[in-house]
Amino acid sequence: MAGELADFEEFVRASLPGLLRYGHALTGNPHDAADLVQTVLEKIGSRWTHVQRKTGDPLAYTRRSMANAHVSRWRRLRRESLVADVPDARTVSQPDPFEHEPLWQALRELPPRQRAVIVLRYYEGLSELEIARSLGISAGTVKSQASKAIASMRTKIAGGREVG
Amino acid sequence: MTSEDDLDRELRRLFSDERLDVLPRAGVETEILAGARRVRRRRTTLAVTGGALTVALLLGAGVIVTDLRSGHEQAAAPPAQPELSLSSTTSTQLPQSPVPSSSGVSPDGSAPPGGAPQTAPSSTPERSSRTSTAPSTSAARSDNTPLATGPVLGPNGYNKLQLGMSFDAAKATGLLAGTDAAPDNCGDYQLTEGASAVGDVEISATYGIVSFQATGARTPEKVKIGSTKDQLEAAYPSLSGSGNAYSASSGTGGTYVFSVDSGKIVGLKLVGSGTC
Repeated sequence: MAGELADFEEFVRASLPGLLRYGHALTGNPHDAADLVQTVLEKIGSRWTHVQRKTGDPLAYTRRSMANAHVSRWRRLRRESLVADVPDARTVSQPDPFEHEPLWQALRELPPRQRAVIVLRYYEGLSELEIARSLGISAGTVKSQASKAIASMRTKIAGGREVG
Repeated sequence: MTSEDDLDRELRRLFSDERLDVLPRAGVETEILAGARRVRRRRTTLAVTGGALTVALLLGAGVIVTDLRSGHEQAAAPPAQPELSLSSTTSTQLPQSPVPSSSGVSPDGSAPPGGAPQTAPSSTPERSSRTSTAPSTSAARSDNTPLATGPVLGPNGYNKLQLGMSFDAAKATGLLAGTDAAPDNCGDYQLTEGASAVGDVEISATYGIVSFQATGARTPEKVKIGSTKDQLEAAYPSLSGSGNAYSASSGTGGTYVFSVDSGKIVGLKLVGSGTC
């Protein structure tokens, strides 16, 4: 197990910057990104041998897990927020590097699943079918979520420009 | 107005922007490693149900025969006849069940129920400490669950349910209860037959069935909740893990995950390659 974790440690070190970046794209802010990466990596490390052996590509597997975790976490948080305080990392405010990017802001306002579809498509460059498999939804849903997302981003960007 | 292509281009530009970089917090790798160990421990520390205790006690009657390990092909086969007769005897005459006193005791001096020997009970003396070492004896005695003849959680799954099987396919077997709602991302389902063999079947929308949590079911190698650590090691020479979490390949892509407490198995799960 020690050897196994040594190997995992190396994986973490090598993939962390990329995963954090990817998490940033997925969640829309660096805090949630760090949180998401850590949660998912802990889970993956806990069954590292298995993940390595079965998936062949731990990095791709980790990214898919992050997309899924992000979508489902948002659902859970929304439910829990009815009864409990939701720890919100965003209260620890830090300037958003994309503050003046209307597209980033529009992306941030998308529901997580739509956002995940967009990130998987444009960040990871996955096909519709691959996205469908990754997120466990049908190709039809991927298509409809993507077109909804694009439509609403376009509306927001256009709206932002008109206002100023 | 932004055209489709413009938006595509803009998105790609945005996603390759260096401002997306997030600097890893110092020491976060170490934290993740520690976290991975913690998650592993937590996952394998499964709840011990009343049924599990029952099984644990019944196992103590000395019927677990680790030498009888056979191939996985036996997984779904009906239990062998000799086990049947043995177990029916022991389950009805539990308190009098004769057990060799020497070999049934584990190295730490306690007498775990599953620590019983491979020999057939015959003229060996009764072990008087039995009842005192096994919890919930009264509840257990009222249960006639056969011993090693119990349901089998095979290398790929339970009954017709297989690791990796999609929710729809699993639902179509009719073995799952409460299938009105498909898993959002991940869902736990119970069996229509009840929870005496398998408690939870975890299904991911992406990976299909990802795990089975055993209650009374045994592996084809005759290891189940209540078996001793020694039996576990004997049954799975390739066992890996330490402390209270162990795992072994089920042989066909799955993994049996065992949690062990005080020398006995308290949790047993069959997991596939997908996660929730």
